[in-house]
Order: sequence, then structure tokens, then C-alpha cells
Amino acid sequence: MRVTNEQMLGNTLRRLSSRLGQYERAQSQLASGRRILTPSDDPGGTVRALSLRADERSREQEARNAGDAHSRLQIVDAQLSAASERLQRVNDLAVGAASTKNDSERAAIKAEVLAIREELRGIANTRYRGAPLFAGMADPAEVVAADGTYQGDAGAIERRIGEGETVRVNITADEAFGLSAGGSPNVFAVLDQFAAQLDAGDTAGVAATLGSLEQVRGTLGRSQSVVGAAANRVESARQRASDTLLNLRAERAEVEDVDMAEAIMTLQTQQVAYEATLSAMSRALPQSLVNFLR
Amino acid sequence: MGNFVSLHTSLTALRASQTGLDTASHNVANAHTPGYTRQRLELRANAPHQTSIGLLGAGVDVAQITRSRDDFLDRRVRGAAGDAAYQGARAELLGRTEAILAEPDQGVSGELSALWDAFEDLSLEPAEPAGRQQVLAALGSLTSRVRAVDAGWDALAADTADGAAETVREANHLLARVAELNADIPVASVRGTAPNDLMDERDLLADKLAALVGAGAVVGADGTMTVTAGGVDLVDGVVASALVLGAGPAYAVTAGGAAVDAGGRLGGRVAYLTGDLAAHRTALDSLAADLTAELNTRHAAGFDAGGAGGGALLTYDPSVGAGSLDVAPAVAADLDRLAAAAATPVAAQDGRNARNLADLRDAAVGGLTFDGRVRRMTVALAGDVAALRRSADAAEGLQVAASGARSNVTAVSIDEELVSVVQYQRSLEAASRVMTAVDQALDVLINRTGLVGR
Repeated sequence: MRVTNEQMLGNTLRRLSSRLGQYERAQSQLASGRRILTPSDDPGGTVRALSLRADERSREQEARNAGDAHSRLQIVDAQLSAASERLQRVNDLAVGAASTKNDSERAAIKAEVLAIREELRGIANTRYRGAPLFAGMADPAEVVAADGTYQGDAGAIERRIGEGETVRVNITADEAFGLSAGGSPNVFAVLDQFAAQLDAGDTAGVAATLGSLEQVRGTLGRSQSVVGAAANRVESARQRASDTLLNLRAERAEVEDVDMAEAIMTLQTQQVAYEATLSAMSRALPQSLVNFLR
Repeated sequence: MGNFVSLHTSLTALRASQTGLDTASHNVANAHTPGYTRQRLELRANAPHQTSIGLLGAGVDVAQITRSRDDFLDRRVRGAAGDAAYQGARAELLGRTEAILAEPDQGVSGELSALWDAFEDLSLEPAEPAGRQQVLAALGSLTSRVRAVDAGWDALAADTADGAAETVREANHLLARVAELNADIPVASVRGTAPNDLMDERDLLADKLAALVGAGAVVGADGTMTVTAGGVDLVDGVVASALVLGAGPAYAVTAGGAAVDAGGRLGGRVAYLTGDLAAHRTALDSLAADLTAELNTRHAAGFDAGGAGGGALLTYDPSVGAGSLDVAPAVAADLDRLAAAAATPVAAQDGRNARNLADLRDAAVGGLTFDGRVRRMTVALAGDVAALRRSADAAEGLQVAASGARSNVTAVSIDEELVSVVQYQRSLEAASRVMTAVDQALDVLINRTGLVGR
């Protein structure tokens, strides 16, 4: 076969530039830490990476939502517990009032009952990050008016805490304290009635009030357990989201990121190959018959 | 006759060796001249003299100086060069198209995710102005990202059209030169000299034309080269028909009124402008249109901070395309126009419509989520780029093989020329020695004969 200098030069140059190209590629993979530098390097891998990124964003958002839900539910729970404790105290007072004959004692009980009534109204009016906690979606100046009427709405505030999974993160004062006409008596009406009975010394009435108080506490207890159940769901969703996030990140790294050990090896190999090409070139190219003719 | 014949014979040998050395030195001088074909001396014994004892040889004659050229190899090289230039141009342009899309790091997909996040954050605290600001910022960067991709593609298309026009100008220049050479070469041939160097120049032009417009070339019996591209004769004899590139979006290539199905770099650029880019552009336009329609529909179902029904969220002009995607001016001017609530009168903590908008993250519109559509668009483009790069690499491999095979025949080998030089040098020395021998014999005859006893 006839081999010409032109062809030899051309081939050498091409091999050299192809070697240098591979060297450069190995180097930029290592420097960027990425296996896929442009989508066309691996279209399938890119789709996978893009989809994992979108999932990651979605899970991160769910984790944020769950975080928000968690802090809301905690505050709701704390407020409801305080309310429950106050009602327990009212119950104790009512039990005492049913047996006392002393007017001044009854007056003292009445004063405490009225203070608790205001305290409960204060709890119902609690605000969280600038908005009322127990008013549904509405933002009235007072969630519960002085006469015990509910001024919020029935809005259920929900948070997305997982794929297709939402959880309700509020409870209205209406639901917790049975304010509207419904199954359970209005807690403020019960307290007002109790105060009136204390004024009148109506011991028989106080006994009946004890029954109403039982109902009111039952309603509050149910609300507390609803909130508790929601808090549990949120807690497990948070755990799940953080586990999923870890998995997603690991998977994305698998698809997108370069394996350092392998990349370093590749770079070394390419470097050696490039140097070998250069050295072969320096030996083969300068040779010609000219060097040997005298 | 007699001794003078040998003198003449040596003279022909001297001349032939001289020409051989000249040819070898021309070959060495042009060893790296592009398109140069090595030249060979064709020697032939002169017609013998009739003598009384039979035929006596009369030396050597230089029949002609030939080029070692093979039409078959030329055709292979040109076919491969046209194909490689075509695929290479498309792959390079699509690679740039992909770079402008800037997925996955700076692309539309990230901006879309950011928008869904912003809507969802707004749904957590609809009364908070910061949430509204975040939504507006996300809408702004999404639309500007889409517009930037569109503008980048526009600029690339304009560049490519300029490039195609430039290619046409260059090709027309080369075609005119081929026609000139077609006129010169037969004239030189008639004078008896084979115009090897002119033919090299013409072959080089044909090679360039193959890469530029995918033209093929055939040399006819009359010595003229016919250049053909896409079934149309661009040079026929001494007449060249100039290529004309039509205006976009068709970018029709014609020559003398006939449509030319151009290949090569021109064909690649035209194919990119009329086919490759158009497909991805349509995908981006329809993404922008559907995004606008779906976001506006969902937004219109809600109520803004003032209790009014949601207006348009985005604006899109189908006659302009993705470049017209923008945030609706009413929303951009007044954050309260964002319809986060789902019912009126608007409750302060009602973020349900913002949730509804954020749910687009996972909602299929026309069978696919918006994120999925961006992914599909990205992978379609990436797949095209990868496939074209592979074909371009394969075509380039073929071209390298073909031109390697041709250069094995046509290019200069320095070693070979040195051997020729040594060979002709030896011939020259030998012929001179013969001449000296004859001269000495004659000297004896002329100056020493008849001097006996002097």
C-alpha cells in the first residue's frame, strides 16, 4: 500500500485532536462533577434527572407545607389544651357551687367563672402570624363577640403534605366551643347561665349546668383529638418527605453526577493516551528517506 | 549514422532524466499544496533506426507528464464530503439550539417548578404581600426565560440564514471559476500540453463545491467538467448558473429557475431552518400557548384581594409565538389582582385558588403535565442532537476514509520522490558517461587516425 505524507500528517492530526477532545471532556466532567454536561450527552438520563428534580421540588414544597401545618397544629393544640384546663376548673367550681350556701362564696365563684369566660374568649381570638387561628378563613376583628356569637366562617384550611394527601390544619371556634345552634351547647351561653344561677342561688340549676358542661367538654375533647390525629399525620408525612427527599437526591446524583474515582481514572488514562500519541508523533513524523541518504 | 547516433541517444537520455528531476522537484515542492496531484513522467523508447543489421534503438522520449487521479475515488470523496458537511452543519446548529434551551440548569423546567412553589407558598399565607410578590417574580422569570429561549433561537436562525446566503455567494464564485477553467483546459490540451495544474485547481474547486452545496462533478470527453447538484446542472461546459437562495421561511434554493435540492453545508443550513428548528419552535410555542390558557382559566376561576374575579394572568399572541409570552399588565401593576381566593366575599385566609394553580404541577393538561412537556421538549431536542452527532461522526469517518484512500493515490510521497530523484540522477550520470565514452571514441577517430609514423 502506498502511504503518503499528506495522509500520515492528516491522520496524526485527527487522532491528536480526538485524543485532546476526550481529555478535555474527561477534565470538564471532573471539574464540574457532572456526568451529563448537556442533555444530548445522555437524553434518557436527562429526562430522568429533570423528572427527579421536579419531584424533589415537589417534595421540598410538601416538607415546607408540613412544617407550616406542624407549627399551626401545635399552637391550636396548645390553645385547646388551655381551654380544656379552664373548663375543667369551671367544672370543679360548679361541683363546689352545687353544695355551697354561702352568698359571698358564690359571688367569688361567679367572678372566677366570668374571668374564665373572658379567658376562653381570648383563646378563641388567638392570632397566629397576623391572622386569627379559630376563625376559619375569615379575618374578623373579634372571632367571638362579647355576647358569644361566632363571627368567623366555616372555612377549612388545608395543607398538601404528600402526593394527593391533604390535611386540615385549623379548627374553628364554632366547632371547638359549639357556638352556633347545633348539637352541643354554646360554652359562653353555658357560662353565662352558670353565672346567672350563682346570682340566683339556683342549686338545682347548677346541677343541670354540670350536665351542659360535660357536653361542652366532650365537644372540645373531640376537637382536640381531631387536631391530635392531624398532627400525627403531619408528623409521619414530614418523616416520609425527608426520607423520600434523601432517596431522590441519591438517585439524582446517581444519574447526574460523575463517579469521582472513575472520572479521575479516566482523566489519567486520557492523559497517558494523549502523551503517548504526542510521543508517537514526535518519533514517526520527522522520519524520511532524507535522513538516511548521503 | 554510426557513432553520432549514440551521442544523440545519450542526449535524449539526458533530457529525459532532466525532465524526471524537474517533475520530482515539482512534486516535492507541492507536497503539501491542497488539491495537488502528483505528476509522473511517462517515458517511451524512440522509434528505432533501420540499419543494415536490423533495427537500432534511438533513445528515449518523454511521452507526457500525467497526473495520478482516479475518477471513482474523486466521486467517493465528494459524495462523502457533501454528506459530512450536511450532517455536520445540522448537528452543530442543533447543538447550539440545545445550548440556548439551557436545560437542565438554567432552563424553563426550573422556572416552572419555581412558579408552582410560589403559588403553593402563596396558598399558605394568602394575606401576605410577600407571597404575592414571589408569585409575580416567578411569573416574570418564567416568561422572560421562555422569551429568552425564543429570542436566542431567532438570533440563531438569522445567523444561519446569513450563513446560508454566504455559502451561496461562495459557491457561485467557485462555480464561475470552474466555468472559466472549463474554457481554458481544452485550449491548453489542444496545444499538446496536459494542463495538470489547472486540472488540479478545478478538482479542488469541485471538492469545495461538494462540501458547500453537495455538488457532484463529471469530466466529459471534451475535457470540460459538469457540476451537478440536486439533479440540476450548475456548470455545463463554459456556462455556470448561479445559485439563488429564496427568502424565509421556505429558503428555496434555485439555479436558473430550477429548484435545487442542495446538500452539503448549504443543504444542512436550509434543512435546519426549514425542518429541525421549526419542530422545536412549535413545541415551545404550544407550551407557551397552553400554559397561558390553563393558567388564565384557573386564575379566572378565583377572586383577587378586592373580591373581583381573576383576570388574565399571562398574555400570549399566537401570531407572534413564544416571544410574546408575558405577565398580564394588570397583574404586574397591582399585586392584589392575583386571585388567590376561591370564593367571594374573599376570606383573608382563603388561598384555595392559589393551591388550585399550584396543583398544575401534577395536573395533566392534554395528557401531560407542563413539567412533562418541558422534559419531552428537552429530550426530543437532545435526542435529535445526539442522533445527528452520531450521523455526523459516521459521515466524517466515511469522508476521512475516502480522502485517505484518495490521498494514497494522488498525494505526494516524499520517500518516493527521493527515490525518483536518485534514479534520475543515476540515469543522468550514466547518460553523461556514455556521452563521454562516445566523445573519447570520436576523439580517437578524428585526432589520432592516420598519424602512423609521424
